[in-house]
Amino acid sequence: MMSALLPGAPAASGSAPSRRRADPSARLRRRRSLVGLAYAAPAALVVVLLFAVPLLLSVWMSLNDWPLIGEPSFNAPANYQAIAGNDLFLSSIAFTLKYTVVVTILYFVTALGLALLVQQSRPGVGLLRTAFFLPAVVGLASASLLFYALYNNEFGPVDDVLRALGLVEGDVDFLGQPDNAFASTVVMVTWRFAGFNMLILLTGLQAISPDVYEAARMDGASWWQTLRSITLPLLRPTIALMLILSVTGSLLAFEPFYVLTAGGPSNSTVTMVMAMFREAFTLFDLGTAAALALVLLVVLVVLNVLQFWLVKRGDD
Amino acid sequence: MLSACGGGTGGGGDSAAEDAGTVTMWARAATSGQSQALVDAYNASHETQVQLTVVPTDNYLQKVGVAAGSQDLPCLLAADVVYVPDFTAKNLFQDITERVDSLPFAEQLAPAHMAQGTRDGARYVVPHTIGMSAIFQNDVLLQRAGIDPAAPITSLRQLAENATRVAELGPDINGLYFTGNSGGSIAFTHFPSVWASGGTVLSEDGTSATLDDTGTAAAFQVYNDLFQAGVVPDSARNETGATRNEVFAGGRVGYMLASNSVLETVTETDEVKIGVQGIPGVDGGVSTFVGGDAIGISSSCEQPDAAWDFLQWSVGEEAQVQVYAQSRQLTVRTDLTSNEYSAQDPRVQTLNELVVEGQTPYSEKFGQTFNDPQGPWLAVAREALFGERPAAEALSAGQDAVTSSLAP
Amino acid sequence: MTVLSAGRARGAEAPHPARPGRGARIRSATYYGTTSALAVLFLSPLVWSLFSSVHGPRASGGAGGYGVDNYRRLIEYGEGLAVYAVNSTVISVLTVAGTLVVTVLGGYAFARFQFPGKDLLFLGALAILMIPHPTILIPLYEILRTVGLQNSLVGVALVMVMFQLPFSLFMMRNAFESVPRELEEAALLDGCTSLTALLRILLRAVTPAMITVGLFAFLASWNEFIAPLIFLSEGSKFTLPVALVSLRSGELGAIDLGALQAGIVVTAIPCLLLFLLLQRYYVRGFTAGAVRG
Repeated sequence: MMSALLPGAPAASGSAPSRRRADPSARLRRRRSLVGLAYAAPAALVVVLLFAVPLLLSVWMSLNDWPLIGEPSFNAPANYQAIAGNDLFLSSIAFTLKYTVVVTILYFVTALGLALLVQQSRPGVGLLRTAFFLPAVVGLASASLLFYALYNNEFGPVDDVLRALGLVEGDVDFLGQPDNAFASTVVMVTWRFAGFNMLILLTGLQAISPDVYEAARMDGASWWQTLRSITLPLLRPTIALMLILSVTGSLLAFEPFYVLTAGGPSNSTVTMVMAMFREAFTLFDLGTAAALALVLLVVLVVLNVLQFWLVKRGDD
Repeated sequence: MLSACGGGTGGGGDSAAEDAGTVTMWARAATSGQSQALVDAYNASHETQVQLTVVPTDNYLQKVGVAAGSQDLPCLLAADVVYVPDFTAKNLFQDITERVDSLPFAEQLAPAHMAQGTRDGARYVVPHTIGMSAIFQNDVLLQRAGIDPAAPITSLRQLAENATRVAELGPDINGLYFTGNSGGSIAFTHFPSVWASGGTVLSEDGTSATLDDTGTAAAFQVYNDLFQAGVVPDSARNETGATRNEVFAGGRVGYMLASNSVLETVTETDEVKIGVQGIPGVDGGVSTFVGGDAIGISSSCEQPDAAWDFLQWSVGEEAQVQVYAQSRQLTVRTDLTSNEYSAQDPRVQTLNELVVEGQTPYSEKFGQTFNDPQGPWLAVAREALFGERPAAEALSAGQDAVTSSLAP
Repeated sequence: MTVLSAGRARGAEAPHPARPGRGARIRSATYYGTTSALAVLFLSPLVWSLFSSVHGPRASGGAGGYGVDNYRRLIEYGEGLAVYAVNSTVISVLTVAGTLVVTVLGGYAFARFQFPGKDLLFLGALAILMIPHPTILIPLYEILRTVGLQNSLVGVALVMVMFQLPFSLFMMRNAFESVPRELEEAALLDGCTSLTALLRILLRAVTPAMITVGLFAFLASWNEFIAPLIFLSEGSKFTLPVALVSLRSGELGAIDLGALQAGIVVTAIPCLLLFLLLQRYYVRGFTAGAVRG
């Protein structure tokens, strides 16, 4: 699985032989493995103490009837069985998947487009990068509120602008119709994350050796050919990172809908995490909330393993 | 004199006196202005210091939930009064029956609040702040529409008539505005019309809904008609409350159903002069939803005596008049509504008089049923207010869902 | 290095060497036309935010027009803007430092070493991305409490380091892997230990990635709302986002939009400055730069 995410062909081909060269004897190998372990130790500590242990606690919670106050009582697997009857959660699954697919495609296209536009040094390109990235410095909840105000018909300017451009007539119901509410939220998150994702891809683009482009240019490759057969393949690990962040982040989407649409109209924009959040912090049923969260976790891990596997297959 | 609690500041000869140096308190941001004013005044005149932490309003339940699970609540816990039955049922508060009963003015503490915090005859809270619903009108627009702002609105039908006249001033002028996309807000601003029309929304013990009541339907139908006629703008349907005050401050709204906080947050300008009216029933009567915060001593508190000293002082005459009334806030005691300051602002006087007519619906599941956006009430209410079928149909269709959410 | 990046740019963007002339001028005009339009699109919500923060009745104290009342309220709110800004800065600095230490060492380990449990640890770190934050906060609260880190800025920073770990570890591992091994092997032959090789040679090569990781850690912790809200229980320890949410939230969902806009502006400024300050570093090509420069 690890080799799937190696950054590029040159590094991948160089790694296997050098690893053999570096390990002349079993003792040295053991020593090197200890050194590696030492470097990884802080990360391991964080993962174990701040993630694995709380996660185990969550697992235990999910096996109990866990009220806010008072003694929990073991009731497994009632919390998991109850998921089948949790209509809000069940209907949130399809919505969250739709959102994830739409948003991930949009993120990728906008981020790649922007990254390619600002990749080279030209006069003014720093300003452009800053302009595209700036939305990312606004917290997600604040950004959601900002757009809530922008979309407001009485107060915000968006519908006036659209009317002035002749794109719409009359008042636009940005958040009151299910499809509009969905689209309005997608526009907001794309605005908020395009620059962020651009920056990730830009970091990857910068890591591609100029020699490779030089060679392509010598061969007379067109812009499109260069993009398709050089840039994208070499960007694969960075793209993988961006996709993981986007897919996972969207499946766990909470703030945009929580703030902008509050799940409305008529619960048409409730995401999975919102349904879980309701169990935990409105109904204070921590056992059920933990069960939902763990189901989500398992689904996400499976999806991401699948994603790794696909990337790896493309690699071979 | 109180003998049960060792006399607060001065007394307490034991080692607890040192612990009593500071008492922690949480309040939600929405009402923190009043909490802070009380705490400041108390700290200035007492040795014991109350340390107030203001928690963002929308996240108060989260914060309380996590802390309560670990017995980490602050000593003094204020809460939106509609959550008090739930908090009391979950044992978040200590029993303060004896302490409350020892107050000479115990009977004058806002009765709606006290009822929320009474369980099996035991008392757990005292009122902390009063927030109430009313009609806020822009006198400037009313005059332009030829309506006398000073004339009282005697019925919902008359409000509808007036609002229609205001809406006729122009396409960008709205007759009536309210928060149409928040279940808690709709309860707050529209239940009074139901009550004043003689209807009910909840059974006595708060475990089932009575939405199929004819008075309820009649009140909602008036609002629905106003929406269909365009007197209530489309944007009201999507208003979660976030832009409500800005819209009113913009000067293009004749009447708005909202809480008394409008008086503090909306500044008057040449285009906006604010008047206050009670929320009427269909053919007459008037009522209000008595909201705001109640406050109790949390179950994790180890200095209940010091905490009580603050509570007792906070509902005393000095605090109520010199802190609340002076800054034009509503007092939490029925015997202090007429005071040296209330006469200065007739609008505050109007509000004070309305409190007596008001109610606070009691239910342990109020929050998750009415306030929660994913609760059953919001969808039912919006259908009744904005749907194309008659309000009565929408309300009876939602009756079962709301009742099952309220059931214990 | 500038020459190098210019060369790369040409190679990447223009398949044929740009000839000065009408074609190039038209291409240039199209480029700047398109990108400027895009930049305006991206900036306009923020510009509106800046405008609304100084305009309107709440900004001018009722009279309408312009004023700085929103900012005045923000500065005086609660414990004072300075207290919240300091708390936020402490958490952000601790988070950035913690994230960098943990993920530079970890990224190096993952890119260059074989050790038992490597795959498991990497998967574990990635799984952090996949747990909904609100659920894990409750058990985390219990754990921080057990070790006496409840109501502590350090505790919040630790939680933020944990949340940043998957992204940052991934990023640093990728960065180390794209550094040619020859670079490090030469140093090892010169008698460096792996640590001195890391500190003296590799760090320079992965600086752009470190800056990206650090910047994202800063942005995440600077803007984080839920973790400080849940883990801190004293107003004097609250961070900027928590205070701003309190300031703007009124009764029954009312939002003080003036305060919201002023809050957005104030929280965005440090992020903006940091980004402007740092962007020239991560934009530098690093693989080639480290080998040849």
